[in-house]
Amino acid sequence: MTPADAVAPGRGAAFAVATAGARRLSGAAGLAGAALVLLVLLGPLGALLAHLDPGAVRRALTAPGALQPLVTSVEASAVALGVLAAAGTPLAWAMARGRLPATRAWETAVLVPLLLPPLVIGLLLVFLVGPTTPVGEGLSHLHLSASNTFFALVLAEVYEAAPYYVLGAEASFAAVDHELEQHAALLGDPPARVFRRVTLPLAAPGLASAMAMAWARAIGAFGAVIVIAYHPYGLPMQIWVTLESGGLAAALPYALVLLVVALPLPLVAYLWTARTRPQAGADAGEPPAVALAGRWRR
Amino acid sequence: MAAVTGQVPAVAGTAGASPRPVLHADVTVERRDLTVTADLTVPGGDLLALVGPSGAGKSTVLAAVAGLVALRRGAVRLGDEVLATGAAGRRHAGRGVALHHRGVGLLAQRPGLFPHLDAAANIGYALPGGARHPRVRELAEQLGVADVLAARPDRLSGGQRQRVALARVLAAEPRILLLDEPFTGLDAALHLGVGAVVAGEVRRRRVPTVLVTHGLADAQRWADRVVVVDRGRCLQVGDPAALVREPATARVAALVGYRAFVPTEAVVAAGGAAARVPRGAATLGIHPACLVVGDGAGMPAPAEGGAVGHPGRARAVTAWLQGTVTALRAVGAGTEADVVLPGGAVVPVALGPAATAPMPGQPCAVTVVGAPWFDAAGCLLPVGPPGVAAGLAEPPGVAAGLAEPPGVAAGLAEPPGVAAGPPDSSGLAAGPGDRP
Amino acid sequence: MHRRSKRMRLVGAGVVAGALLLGACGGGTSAGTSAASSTAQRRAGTADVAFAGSLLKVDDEVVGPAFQRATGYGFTGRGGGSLGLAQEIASGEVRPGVFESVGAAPLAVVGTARSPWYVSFAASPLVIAYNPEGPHAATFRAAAAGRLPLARVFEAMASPGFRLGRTNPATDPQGQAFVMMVELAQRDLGLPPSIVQRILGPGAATGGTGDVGQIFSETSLEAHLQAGQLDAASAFRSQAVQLHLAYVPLPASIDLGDPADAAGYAAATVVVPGTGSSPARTVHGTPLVIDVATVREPGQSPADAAAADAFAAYQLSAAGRRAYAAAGFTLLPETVHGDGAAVPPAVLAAVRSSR
Repeated sequence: MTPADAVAPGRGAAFAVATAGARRLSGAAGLAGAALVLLVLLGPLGALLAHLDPGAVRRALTAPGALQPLVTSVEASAVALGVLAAAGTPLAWAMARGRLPATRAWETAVLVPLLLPPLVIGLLLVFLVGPTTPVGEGLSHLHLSASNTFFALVLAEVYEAAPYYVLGAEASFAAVDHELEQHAALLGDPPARVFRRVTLPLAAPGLASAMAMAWARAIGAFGAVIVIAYHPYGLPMQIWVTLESGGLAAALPYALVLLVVALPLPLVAYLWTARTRPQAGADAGEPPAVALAGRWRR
Repeated sequence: MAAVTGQVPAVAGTAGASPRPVLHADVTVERRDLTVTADLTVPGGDLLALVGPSGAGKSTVLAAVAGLVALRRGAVRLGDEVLATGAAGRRHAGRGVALHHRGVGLLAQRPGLFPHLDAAANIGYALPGGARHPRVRELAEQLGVADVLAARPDRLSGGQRQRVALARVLAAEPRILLLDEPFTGLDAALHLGVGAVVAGEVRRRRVPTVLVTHGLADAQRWADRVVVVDRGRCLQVGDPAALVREPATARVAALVGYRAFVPTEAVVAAGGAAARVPRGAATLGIHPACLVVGDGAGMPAPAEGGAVGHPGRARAVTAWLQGTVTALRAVGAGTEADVVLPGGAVVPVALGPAATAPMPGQPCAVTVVGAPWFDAAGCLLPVGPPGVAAGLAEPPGVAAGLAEPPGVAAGLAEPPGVAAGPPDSSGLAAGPGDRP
Repeated sequence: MHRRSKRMRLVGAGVVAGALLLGACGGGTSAGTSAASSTAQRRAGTADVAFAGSLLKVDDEVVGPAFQRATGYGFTGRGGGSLGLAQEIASGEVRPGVFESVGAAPLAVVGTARSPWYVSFAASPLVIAYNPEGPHAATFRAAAAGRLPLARVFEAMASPGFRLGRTNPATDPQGQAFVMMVELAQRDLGLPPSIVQRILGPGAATGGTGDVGQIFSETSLEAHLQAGQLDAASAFRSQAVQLHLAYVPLPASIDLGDPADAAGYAAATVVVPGTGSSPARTVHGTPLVIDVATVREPGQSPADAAAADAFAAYQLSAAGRRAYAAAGFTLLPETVHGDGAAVPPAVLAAVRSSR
């Protein structure tokens, strides 16, 4: 054995240790970075929990009519989500499949509410659907008003949440392999049945998370709401009004309620998406060698 | 035309089936890089194979027949029914029967199983009752996937997915069957079994079927006719055996397994009179299955390789070449030699068990039996009087005049039954290299 | 199991650390610093001025820059609800050098330790801004010009289908003032008692919600009017002037803009409904007077303290008063409240010179 040979393993081992160390170091750095992000993201939540006074929460939530904003918010968001699901889903599908002329233009149009500050959306809605505008007059024939009404609240929430749902849904439809839809059609399914049997189930996890995102946006909508739907109070307005009149301590219980109401749906959707993700890529790659159990082999 | 070869197990029930209409696809499709044109006629119950290199446009032809791409020109007809017509200048394939009314069964290269359904539900997708339809289990058992019926596609192996997808297509009882590389990922045993199931279905239900494959052996085994496709065009259509025996051009020859083209003098027998073509103006097509390597003993080795046209043959000759063995290796029970031919091409040659193995590095005599000749333009040259056809393998007596080296007859010995068959149905398909 | 507990610990740590981070940062400030385009010699201190939202435009655009040019000090302004700002100052979340508030109540929140004195110098009377293209515009225009009795304006506002906009009495002093103004108008203009309810909706002054369709946020009320979606809206005269709104001026006895009428205003009350756990409370009418005070904080730099004093003095000087008058405020005789001995000499000089 030459001296070089004798040294080499040692050097190799040292190198291995060094790379392992570097890996550990970069791993630690990654962990630290992740922890920092988590910290920053959860900071407000921590502050909320730290400043909550259980007694204040109990008092605030047991006061007569205290839960009315919660009911209003949940109802309005549910209606807004229903509208988005009914109108946004076909739009998202058509966009994803390029069935619309000038798809880019549609995408941009959907993005506009996302790019504008919600306050500005609210102000523009005043011009669009205020009582003396043509739209407003049309609405009044239907005994609807888009000013300080439940309808106005729903409208504002739809505008704030629409981009999140439509773009999310478009992405999840686009992720559905078009070949699968073609196979279903060749197997005899007319388009509507292809959509129901293949497209929708495959896009469902993505649609659910888009829906969850939209839910969170809708129930937390404030900028456009404060302009066209000061009343009836949903949770964000209730928080704002309480903050203005009674200070931070009085408003925090409602923030907690908002969090508790807004969070479960996104969480459930996320967990569902995470559970179904491995199945989405069935065609993508070979699974680890599964014993070929053909009957001709035996 | 629809002769069922001996390799496909006889299937009962052919008698009662009603005659199926003929699929006629005269299609021109614009692909990004290529214009694909094909004119195919497939009678019900027939299996037509498209053979060619990757990117030749085989799958595009299937897509055009299935209705997945727009026709630039032409039409797809099933009997009297027009499924699609050309829509020149139109972006969308707007004209034609909707996909779900076409009754096309397409097994694509990617199986395209529905990932959210288990194997049984995939197979039963087009059946009333879905996974519970008795046909699901029946097909799964025939194709060897009965024990994975409850599994989702992501739990299946590539071969299992392929067979589940095939079962799904067959279960739908299509009016036209299009199979794109249905045998990839299957080992030899499965390959045969799946092929037999497909062939059985095709014959029993009299479905016009188009099979895309890059393996000539599959085409020869299962197909009634073979179309050689290259760069978007159909180069030659024919009986599988004849196609290999008499490739119309050198390009076709290359696509059907000829491994080397050796420039040499040609002896052309035209009207019984032999004429010499100047050296270099013709090439000899070399198929590995037609090569016999000897040790040179007893061979009238020409000084620098040569060939002699056989006046008794239409378009094939027996030729002698001087080669050099570069490597030997065991293949199965026999031996395979890499032989460098004049011109530099290296061809692997199976040595018969009786052959005396030459040593690597040594020159050897190479006899090419039944090789086609091509002129400078790559077109097949006639050798004998037109109209006189013969099988590739010569009975020993035929070659006697050419002083065959010992071992030639042994290496190419045909099963008597095949050699005795009609010229159309014998040939290379039964050659030693292709026998499973 | 192990992984999960680790994750839980991590989340817990994140929450605690996040809370610490937030505490360390304190409340955010949204201040715009405009660089001194100095004609006077540049000086070290910066006047950090917190002011009521209704003073934002005049302070940020007129008084602040003029102060910088005249004195060479820096200027930073922040606007907000008077009461909200006062609470932030009291809790130490924001540390301005000067506080300009509408009404004295916010100054009581700040406390005499920080602001031992304040000077009232202007008032912000209420007006009724109207839509010049609305169906009742003719009535409003005529009343504004004195050709129609003012009572006709209130009768128009009480008519069915009239679209009135006002702010939330629970959060905004102007929202309270508008309700009280309607009560005072009913009393002084000989209108039937029911008109208060007909204009504002049932219970608006007595702890009920009133017509919630009339309530808009402070930020968007005038926008609704300008968009033509309201027939009339509550406004300070300063807002009407600065936004070029058509408006009907009101007599001093009901516009809550004249300290001399304080006794009369006090007769008007509004019951502010409680929100959440806070109980309903009764608010009495007071004049909408603008006060300026300096805020002393421990640790404040002498230069910034000097800048704060200079700003108060500038605000009370002829130039500062002119700016307010031009912006639609009513100028009042400057009056020192609180500990007169603590008033800086420069401020005292300005107060004296205004007389």
